[in-house]
Amino acid sequence: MEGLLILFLPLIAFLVIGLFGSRLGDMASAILCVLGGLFSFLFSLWATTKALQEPFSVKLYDFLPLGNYTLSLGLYFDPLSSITTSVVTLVATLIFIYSIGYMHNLFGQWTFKFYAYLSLFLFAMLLIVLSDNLLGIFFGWEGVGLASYLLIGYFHTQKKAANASLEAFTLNRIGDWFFLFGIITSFYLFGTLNIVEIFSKLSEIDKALLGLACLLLFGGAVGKSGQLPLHTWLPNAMAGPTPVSALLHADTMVAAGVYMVARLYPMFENAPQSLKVVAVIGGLTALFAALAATSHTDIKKIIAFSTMSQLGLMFLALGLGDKVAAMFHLTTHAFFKALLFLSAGSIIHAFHHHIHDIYEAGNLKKYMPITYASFLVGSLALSGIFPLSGFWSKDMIVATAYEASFGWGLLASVVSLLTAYYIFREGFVMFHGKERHHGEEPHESPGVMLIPMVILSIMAVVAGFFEGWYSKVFGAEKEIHLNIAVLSVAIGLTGITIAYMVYIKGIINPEKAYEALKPLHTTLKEQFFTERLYHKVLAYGYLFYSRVLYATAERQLIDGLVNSSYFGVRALGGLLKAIQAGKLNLYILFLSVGFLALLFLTIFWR
Amino acid sequence: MSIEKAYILISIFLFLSGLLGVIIRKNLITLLISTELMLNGVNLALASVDKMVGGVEGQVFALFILAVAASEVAIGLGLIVALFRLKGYEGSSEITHLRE
Amino acid sequence: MEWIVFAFLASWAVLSVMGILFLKNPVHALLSFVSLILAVAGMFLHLGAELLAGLQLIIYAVAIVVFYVFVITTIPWEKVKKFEGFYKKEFLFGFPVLLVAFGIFAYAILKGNFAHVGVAGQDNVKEVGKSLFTTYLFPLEVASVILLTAMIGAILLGRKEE
Repeated sequence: MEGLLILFLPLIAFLVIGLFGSRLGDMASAILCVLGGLFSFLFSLWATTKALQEPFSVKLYDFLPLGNYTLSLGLYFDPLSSITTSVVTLVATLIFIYSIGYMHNLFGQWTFKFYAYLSLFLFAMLLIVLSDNLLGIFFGWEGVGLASYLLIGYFHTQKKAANASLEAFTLNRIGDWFFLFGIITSFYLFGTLNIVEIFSKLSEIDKALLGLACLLLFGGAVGKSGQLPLHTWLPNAMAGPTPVSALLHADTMVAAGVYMVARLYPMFENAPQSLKVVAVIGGLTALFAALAATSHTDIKKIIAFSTMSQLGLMFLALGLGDKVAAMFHLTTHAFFKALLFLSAGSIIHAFHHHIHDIYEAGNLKKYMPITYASFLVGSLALSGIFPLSGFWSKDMIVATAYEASFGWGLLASVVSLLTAYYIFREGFVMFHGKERHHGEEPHESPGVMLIPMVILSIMAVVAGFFEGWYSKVFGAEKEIHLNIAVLSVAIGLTGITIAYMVYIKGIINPEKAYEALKPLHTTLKEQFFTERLYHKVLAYGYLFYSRVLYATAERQLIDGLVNSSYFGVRALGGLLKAIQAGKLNLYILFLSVGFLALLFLTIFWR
Repeated sequence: MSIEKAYILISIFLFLSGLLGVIIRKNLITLLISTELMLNGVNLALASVDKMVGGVEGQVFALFILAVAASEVAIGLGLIVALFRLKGYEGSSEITHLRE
Repeated sequence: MEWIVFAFLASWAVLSVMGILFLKNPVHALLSFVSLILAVAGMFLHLGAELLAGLQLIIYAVAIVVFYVFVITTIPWEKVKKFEGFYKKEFLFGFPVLLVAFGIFAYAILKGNFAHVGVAGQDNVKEVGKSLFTTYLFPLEVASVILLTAMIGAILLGRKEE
C-alpha cells in the first residue's frame, strides 16, 4: 500500500492541481505539489528500509491478457530502485520548494500549470524507477518525455523555448523509437517483459540477438540522457525555467537512461559487445561535452554540458562493468548538480530573469554570499575535491577506467581536468572580478529558495561518506586506490588553479586567448558543429524537402486532382439537383420508373 | 381473348392514366381526381376477375376500396382547404417543402 | 353483342379519361370524371356486378363529386384558374414510361394463364351481401371505423384556426 502511495501521490497531486488549480490558486497548488513530493519521499524512505532487507514487489493490475501470457503492471522494490526513488523524491521535493521562490513573480499567471507538470513528471519518473517490467518503464519514459516537453516550453511565448521543447521532443522520440523496438525484441526473445523473469532466462538466449536488444534499449537511453549523437536538445532545453533544468535536465530525467541501463544490467552483462558500445559512447560524450562547456558563456548551458559530460562518465563506468560506481555517481551528481543549477537559478532570479551570460555578472560574492557558498560547494564537489561527495563517486569511476585500460583512465582524467576548469571559470567570472551589472543591485534570494540550496549543500558534502554503505548494499566492496585518489584530487586542483590564474590573476587575458584560438573556440562552442549539422542540414533539409513536396505533389498533384474533381462533382450535383427539386410530380414519376423496372424484372427475368 | 381480359386491359389503362394525371396535372383538385381514377381502375380489375373466376370476394374488396376512396376524398379535400387557407396556394408545383 | 357493348363503354371511358387528363378547367375535368364514373358503372353492370354498379353511382357520382364541387366553390376562382392545365415536361417524360408500363402489363395479361373460369351466382346482390356480412364482417366494421376517422379528420382539417 505504501509502495503504491509513493507512486500515486504525485499523480493525485497532478490531477488535483490540473483540475482545480485555477480555483486553488498558485500558492496552494505549489504547496500541494511539494506535499505530494514530500510524502512520497517519506514513504520511499520506509520502502528503502524494507527493500534493503528483502526485495518485494507490488502488483498493480493485469494490463493486457495476451493468449497464454498476461502483461501485468507492477512495482518492484529492490535496493537499486528504492534508493534511487528516495534520491529522486528528495531532490524533487527540494526543487519544488525552491521553485515557489523562483516562480513567485509569475504567480497569478496560471502558474499552477507549472506545478501540475512537475507533479506529472515526478509520477512518470517514479514509474520508470519502480516499474517491474519494461512496458511500465516505457510508459514512464513517455511520460517524462511529455512532461519535459511541457516544461521546457513552459515560457511558450518565447520562440526559443518553443523551439527547444520541440527539439527535445523530436530527439527524444528517436531514442524512444529505439527503446520501443528494444522492448519488442526483448519480448520476442524472452516471451515476457517482467524484469525479474527476464533475468532468470538470460542464460538460454542467443547472445547476438541479446546484444541487438541491448543496443536498441541503449538507444533509448542515449536519447533520454542526451548522449552523442542525440545530444543537441539538452543544452537547448535550458530555455525552460531553472527548477526544470535542475530537476529534469540534471538529476532525474536525463539520469533515467543511466538508471535504465543499470536496471537491466544483467542483460548487458550477458552481451559484452553492447557494453563496449556503451563505454565508447559514454566516453566520447564525456570528453565532447566537457570541451563544449569550456567555451560556452551561458550560465545554464555550461552546467548543462557538464551534466552531459557527467552522464557520459556514468555510461563509461557502466560500459566498463562498474554499475555501482555509475549509480553512486548518479546519486551524488543529483545532489551537487541540482545545487549548481539552483545557484545559477538564484543568480538569474536576482537579476529578475534578465541575464543569461556569465559575462553580464561579476563580483556577486559581495551581494549573494549564501549563493556563492552553495555554488562553491557544488563546484568543488563536481571537481572531485576531497572530501566532498563528488570525490568519492568520481574516484570510483576513474579507478574503474584505469583498471580497464590506461586509455580510458586518461580520458576520465582529462574530463576531470576540464570539468574543474570550466565550472570554476564560470564561478570566478560570476562571483569574483569586477562588477559588470548595471542599474539595480542584485539581491540575495528569499529563504524559500535558500533553504533547499543549503540542504542540498549539506547533502553534496556528506553524500560521499555513504560510499562504503552503498557499495556494501550492492555487494561490490572495493578498495580505494590511494594513488588514483591523490591523482584525481591533484587533477581537480590543477583545473581550479588554471581557472584561477586565468580569470582572477589574469595571467592570460581570456578574451585575447579565445580570440587567438578562434577556430578551435568556435568548433567547441558549436559542439563540433553537430547542432548546426542537425539544424541546418537535417532539419532545414527536411523542411526544404517538405516545401518542395508541398509545392509540387501537394499543390499541383493532390490539390489539382481535388480541384478538378470539383467540376465533375458539380456537374453531377447539378443533375441531381434538378431531380431533387422537391416536386411531388417528379418524385412520383421516378417512383413509377422504378416500379416499371421492377415489373420488367419480375415478368421478363426468368 | 376473352371479354374479361379486355376489361382488365381497360382497368390497367385507367390506372396508368390516373398515375399520369397525378404526375402531370397542376391543380391539386384535378390531382385528387386522378387518384380517384386510379382507384376506379383497380375496382374494375377486381370486378372483372370476379367475373372470370365466378366469385364475389373481388366485389367485396371493391366495396372496401369505395369506402377508402370516400375517406381519401374527405381527407384530401380537407387538406387542400387547409393548405389553401394556411399558405394561400393550391398548385402542386408550389409544394416544394420536401426540398427544404 | 358483348364486344359491341364493350367497345362502346371502352371508348366512352377513354374519352372521359382524356378529358380528365387534358382539360384545362378543373370543373370540366370534374365533369369528365362524372362521365367516367357512369362508364365504369356500365362496365360493372356488364360484368354482372350490379351491387357495385349501384354503389358506384351512389357514392361516387353523388357523394364524392358533390364534395369536389363544394370545395371548388370555397376556393376563390382566380386561385384555381392560376393552376390550370398540365406540365408539358413531365408529360413528355412520364408518357413514354407509362406507355412502356402498359405494354408490359398488356403482355403479361395477354400471355398469362388465368385461373379456370367458373360460373357466377345468380343473385349478385344477395351473394355479395351474404359474404360481406358473414365472412367479411370484421373488415366491414373496420371500414366503418375508417370512414368515421376520415370524417373526424376532415372536420379537424377544415375548421378555422382560432
